[in-house]
Amino acid sequence: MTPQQPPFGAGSNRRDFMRNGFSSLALVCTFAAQSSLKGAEITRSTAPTSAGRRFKAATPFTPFSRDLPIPPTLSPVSTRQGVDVYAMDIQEGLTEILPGFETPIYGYEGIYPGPTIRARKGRPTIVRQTNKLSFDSNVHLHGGYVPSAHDGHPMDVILPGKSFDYTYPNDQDAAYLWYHDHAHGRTAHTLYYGLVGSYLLSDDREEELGLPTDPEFDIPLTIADHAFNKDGSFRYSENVDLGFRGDTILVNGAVSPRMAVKRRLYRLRLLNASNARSYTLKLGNGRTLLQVASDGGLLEQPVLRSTVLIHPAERIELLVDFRGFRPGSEIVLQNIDGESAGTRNVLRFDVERGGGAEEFKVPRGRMRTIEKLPAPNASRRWDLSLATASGVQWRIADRGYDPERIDVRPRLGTSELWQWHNPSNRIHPMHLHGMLFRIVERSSGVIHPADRSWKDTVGVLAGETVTVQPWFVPYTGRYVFHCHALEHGDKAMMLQLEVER
Amino acid sequence: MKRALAGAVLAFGALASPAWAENQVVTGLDVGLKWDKEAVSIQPGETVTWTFPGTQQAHHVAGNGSEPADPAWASFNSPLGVPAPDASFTFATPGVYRYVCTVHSSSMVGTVYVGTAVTPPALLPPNQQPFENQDASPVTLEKVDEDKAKPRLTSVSVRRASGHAVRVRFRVDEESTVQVRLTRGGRTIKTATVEGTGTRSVTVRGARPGRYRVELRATDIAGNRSPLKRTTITVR
Repeated sequence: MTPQQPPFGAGSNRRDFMRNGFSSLALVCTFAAQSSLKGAEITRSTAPTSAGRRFKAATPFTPFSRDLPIPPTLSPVSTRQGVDVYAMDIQEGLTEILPGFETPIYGYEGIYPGPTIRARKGRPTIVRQTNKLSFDSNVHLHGGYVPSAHDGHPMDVILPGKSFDYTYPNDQDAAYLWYHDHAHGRTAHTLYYGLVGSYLLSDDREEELGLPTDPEFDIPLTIADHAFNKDGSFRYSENVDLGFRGDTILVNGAVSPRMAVKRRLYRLRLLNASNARSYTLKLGNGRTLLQVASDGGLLEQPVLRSTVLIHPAERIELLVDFRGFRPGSEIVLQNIDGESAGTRNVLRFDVERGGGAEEFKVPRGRMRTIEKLPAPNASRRWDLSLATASGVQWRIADRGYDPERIDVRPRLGTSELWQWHNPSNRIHPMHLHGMLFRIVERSSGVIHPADRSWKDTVGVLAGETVTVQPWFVPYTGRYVFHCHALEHGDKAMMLQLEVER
Repeated sequence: MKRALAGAVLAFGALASPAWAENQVVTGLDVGLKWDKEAVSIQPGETVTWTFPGTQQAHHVAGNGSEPADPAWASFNSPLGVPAPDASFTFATPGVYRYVCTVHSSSMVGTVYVGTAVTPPALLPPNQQPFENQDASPVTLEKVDEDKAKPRLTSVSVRRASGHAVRVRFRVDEESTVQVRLTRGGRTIKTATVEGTGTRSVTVRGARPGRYRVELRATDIAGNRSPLKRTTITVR
């Protein structure tokens, strides 16, 4: 099986998969029958169960028919000597995304999204990843301060059947990190087919502030656009220019789901895990959203927003207060950039009974003080462009990725000014591994207050120049920086840095 | 010179004239990221032209597949553009030639049949046929019932209980947090908090003998507060 094939795309598994495919097709017919019954008012689901809603759904794409799935929180296999040890298998799996269909995926523990790890600042974790796929894989902890050997560099892979113990020091402030495959040249494929998971790092500060940390009210929302084949399998089509675009939005692996909420304060942690789609999210008719954190953790102060723009690989944490709504209220989170109903509907919040004393608080005023960066000791300009000389390739400073070449050698503890210059007509979410940066200038206007904290990914808009200031701490070693539009990164929009002492 | 010009005009005319309809034009489309024709059939010596009118995405056309009948096809590769310039290739050798936009290599593919029988496209299995999301369900962005009503506190009664205690009963009409305060001379002496809805009671203990003012206020989940309810009690 070549890695460019979908999961279960070949070999002995294929027959099983086809059988699933055919039974799924049989279910399409069942579906139609159910719809017609519903039309004749013969059946009426009284209990608002998930099955009942699904029964009433006209097509597998009907929005807000399914309850939001919450990926399970992974339990450590050992907690000795202050280190939490986790174990995960990277494997194929089958999941039900369209009701009545099975979708073959790659998944951490065989599920999509993968299990959530909840880690604590100052308490290291070791994640033993076992590659049960038939091709190389590896794991990048996106946004983490991670030693180079554990960062998931494209050339550091876990061979099929082998394991690797990723050691994460967790020596950084609370933030929504995420883990995903980063093997060379195939992330557009492997992330699309499911190798994505959340890693929530907490600390004392967020507890002092009273932010929700209880998993019932602190919810990771992994948003990604997908498309499907008639047998329910994911449909992928190559688009090196724009990046993949799907006609359906999945949140935590469900088509535009509904989320039952109590009359409580919720911390919604948004991750754009799409290959290349950016979203502009709006709640209801434009209700204000309170953003408290971005990629690198808390903002200095909460920021009120009427819409939220989130590019691939970015994270945004929102506090949404449902206490003011009576049970039965429904509010839709929409992507106003969507080109169809399927790409506009993201999630609906359905307010249910329950609430009462709220132990969590809406922070006001200063949440955090960002460390002062050392003065930059170099300035670099990185032009982002599409080249056709040797096949179609995206480039940074007219170079494509070469694992044998180090493109920058900054000194540990220093900082530089990096100017992303994007004359192309595509958005490039530029990501730096193992370190964080701050945005210092945008040619398109002022830097939004919500983008002034630590970042690890910045969406450089078409025609825009964005200057960021990375801080080369805390580790020496070889890392990469690349475009997180996965088709761009794979087709070779990635360079290397080596932080030296 | 004159002859060369005439030749060029002739070549141009050959492309544009319907009399030479065997020459084929294939158009690249942004919608669906595909070619308007997935297969064209020509005779040896005829020309296929690929065009990209009005496209917003980067396209081009290139020869696809190994060892084509005409070796020149292997290096056929037009420049990328938005929109891309037209590109033509004259096929002299009979055979089957695949073309592709390498930017959209899984959907923008096609075949030129030169002097050979056209193979009808195979029926794709379900795992290769698109299952399009054509949902158009009407969506109401908000159907909200905002709670702006103050909770109502009624049937407030206070009585002495044994052991310097005061028992306060009340009724509240929605899920609320009710705070009960015993004050004396303007100072709060004791407080108690009760959550719930309906008839509730709470016993406030440890008050020294004396006359107290008893104050109750309910705050609902939305934060709406009831008017203060006041009464008095003497603890013995």
